[in-house]
Amino acid sequence: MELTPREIDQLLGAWALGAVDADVAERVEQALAADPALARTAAELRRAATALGEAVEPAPPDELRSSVLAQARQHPPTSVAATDPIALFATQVSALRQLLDELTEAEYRAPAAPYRWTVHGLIAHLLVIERYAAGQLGLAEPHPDGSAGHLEIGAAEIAEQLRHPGSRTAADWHAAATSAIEKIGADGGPALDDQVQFHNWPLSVASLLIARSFEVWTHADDVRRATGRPMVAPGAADLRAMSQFSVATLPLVFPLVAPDATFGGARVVLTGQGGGTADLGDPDRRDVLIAADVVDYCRLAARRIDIDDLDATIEGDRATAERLLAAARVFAL
Amino acid sequence: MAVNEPRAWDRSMVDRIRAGDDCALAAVYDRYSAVVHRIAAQCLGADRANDVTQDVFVHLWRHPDAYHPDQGGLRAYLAVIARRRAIDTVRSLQRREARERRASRAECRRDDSVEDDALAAVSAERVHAAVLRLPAAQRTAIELAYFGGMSFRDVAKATHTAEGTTKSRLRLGLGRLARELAGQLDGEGGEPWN
Repeated sequence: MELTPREIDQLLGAWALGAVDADVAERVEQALAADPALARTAAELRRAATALGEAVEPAPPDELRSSVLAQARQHPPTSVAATDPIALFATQVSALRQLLDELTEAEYRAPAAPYRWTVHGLIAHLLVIERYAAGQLGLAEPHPDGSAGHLEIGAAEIAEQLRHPGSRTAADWHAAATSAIEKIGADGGPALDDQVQFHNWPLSVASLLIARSFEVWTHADDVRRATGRPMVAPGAADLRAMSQFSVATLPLVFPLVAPDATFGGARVVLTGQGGGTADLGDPDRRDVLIAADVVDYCRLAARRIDIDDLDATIEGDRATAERLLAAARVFAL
Repeated sequence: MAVNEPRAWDRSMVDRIRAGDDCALAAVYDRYSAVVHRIAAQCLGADRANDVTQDVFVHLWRHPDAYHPDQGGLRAYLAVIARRRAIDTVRSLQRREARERRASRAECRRDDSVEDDALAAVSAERVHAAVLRLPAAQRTAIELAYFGGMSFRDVAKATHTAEGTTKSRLRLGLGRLARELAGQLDGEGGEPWN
């Protein structure tokens, strides 16, 4: 029910004292956002309520604060266990395959922003990357176009795929991806801690799988956007694996985006299911704290959200925060 | 992030606590520990209030999902937890020390809701001059809402008053306090209430 301006004004005292229900508070706050004069009055009342509390509520002893925080640190909250890299990649491959199975050939011809490709072309690109990755992992001959950049590699293969139905390219991509999944970690296949080169990045096989999972999930959302479907966030355990990997790489990548700056220390807090808290760099330094939703952070890392558009809390050195967020995007090829 | 409004701030901090950010717990402690400690102290005294205060914030740290922002502010939530823990503690003490705690038992039987103690604590505060100068009905409404952690609807029920009247009392009373406190802060002196 709409509240009249008089009713809003009458509620301001209760609102300032925190004595209204959530739905009423929301309606009052909406009214305040639209009425600067009313907002000034509300701020005065809130100030009075705050001053009231400060005046009559003696602070508990200082040592109690330390004790509370020490006890909390001894018992960190349990977080979702991260999916292992092979299962993570398999889950994202399966999700994309399921999506592709729903597409009509007309949908395969839809433009797939932000690329110049159609959906079909994007899946053909994924097929090329799958073949390139197989070569780097020793599962196939090295890709003949392997020195090309991520978006330039296999242009002829992509053109060839576009002569066939999109569903066929999808099936070829899925076969290539599942073949790799079956071989990694199997007898005679690459181990998760083996080192490989991927577009000149030295990565462990585990890291490569996580980076590829980012790519497959991101392209699945590209396909969803292109075909008018709602975007889908990975499950909590998958988000945990992806975000942990991304955040852990930030100090390593920081010099690439800020060669003249020195990284001290930072805390990154990712909220929501699959999120977590990570302290980076010097444990005795915390130049900045960045808090953001874990899905938003992953979309930022995948370059689907701009740094300026990330809904983040930044406490401390803003320049370092912006460099860290820029570093998060380096692996999005 | 729009965290200027208390509810948004509460939600943001609890999200961060859920993610394991003890800085957020520290921020929540800094904002709300005084009210938690006071509620506990009303029933238990200052020493045992420390234990309850610690218990309340460690509970929030370990069980952040128990707080539902849609059901109210974090301050009110923590106040309720503090009240329950304090009453549980008193009852436990009563069982162990029945004779010695007769007086406490009587006090806390009155206190399943904390408003009587809140009123007593408020009137004992020497800094309450501004509040005490309010008309009684306005003062009572503010004390119940602020110190008792009650919604205006609960205040209306507790004082057997229409909700509209209660809202007006809170609005007028806090407005007067705002003017007086502003005067004190600005060194201008407060205007006479009567």
